[in-house]
Amino acid sequence: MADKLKVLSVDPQARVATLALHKGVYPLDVIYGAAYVLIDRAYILLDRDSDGRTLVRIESKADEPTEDDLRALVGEFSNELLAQALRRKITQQNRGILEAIVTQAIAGATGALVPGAVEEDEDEDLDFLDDPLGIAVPWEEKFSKEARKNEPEPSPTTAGTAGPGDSGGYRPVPPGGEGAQPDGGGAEGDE
Amino acid sequence: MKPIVVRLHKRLYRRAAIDAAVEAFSELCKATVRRDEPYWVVELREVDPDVADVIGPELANWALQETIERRR
Repeated sequence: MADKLKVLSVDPQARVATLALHKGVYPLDVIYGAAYVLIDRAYILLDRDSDGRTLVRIESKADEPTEDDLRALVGEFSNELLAQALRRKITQQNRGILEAIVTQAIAGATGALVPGAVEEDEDEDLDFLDDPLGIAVPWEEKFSKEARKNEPEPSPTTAGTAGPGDSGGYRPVPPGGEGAQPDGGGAEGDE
Repeated sequence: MKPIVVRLHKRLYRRAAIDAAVEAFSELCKATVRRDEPYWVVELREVDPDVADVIGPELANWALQETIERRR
């Protein structure tokens, strides 16, 4: 079985190490990515041999590199090959998610509607000033003495049930009628 | 003085990237590019003596960097 990565030579006098990479294992993008990382510390020259393997010639830019220095560069290049391969795999796996996120971001920035992102407004007849539940009526107006005087007497069928003008809160009627104090009256917050 | 020759594989280096590298080094040498399958052969003449020992690898690095960036 062919070697996936083979160190062909390490020559400290020439400051050069040479690798051979199996073409089926390391795609060209991965090799480019790893080379790009080392390009500030070494001269990288790529080539192909007759077997189709990619040859990587790494020439150190250091003045007098030792063999250990060259082997460290080779090791770093090998690690970077793995990192680039993993990054490439993850990118391919998440391509759909990335495209969806970018599409929505661009559409949002341009003000365009993303299909399915915003539901159609079903309450087109409603005006924002309408207040069918009386939510916008201040508490003081709703429960002032004058307002209560003008309030129609509740019919026997609707008494004790919440209506459109009701705040929905619990308003107990004491046994003695509207004027009587409920048991334990004078709770915090009462007027 | 003999020209410095840099051979760059056509499957690994883009011609446009090589041209960009040659342009970048035009003040340090006179370069010509020709085909010699499967390579692009860059010949550097009238090289500035101060950079004669590194200009070949530097040009190859520049061409590689341009190739990588143009693929993105």
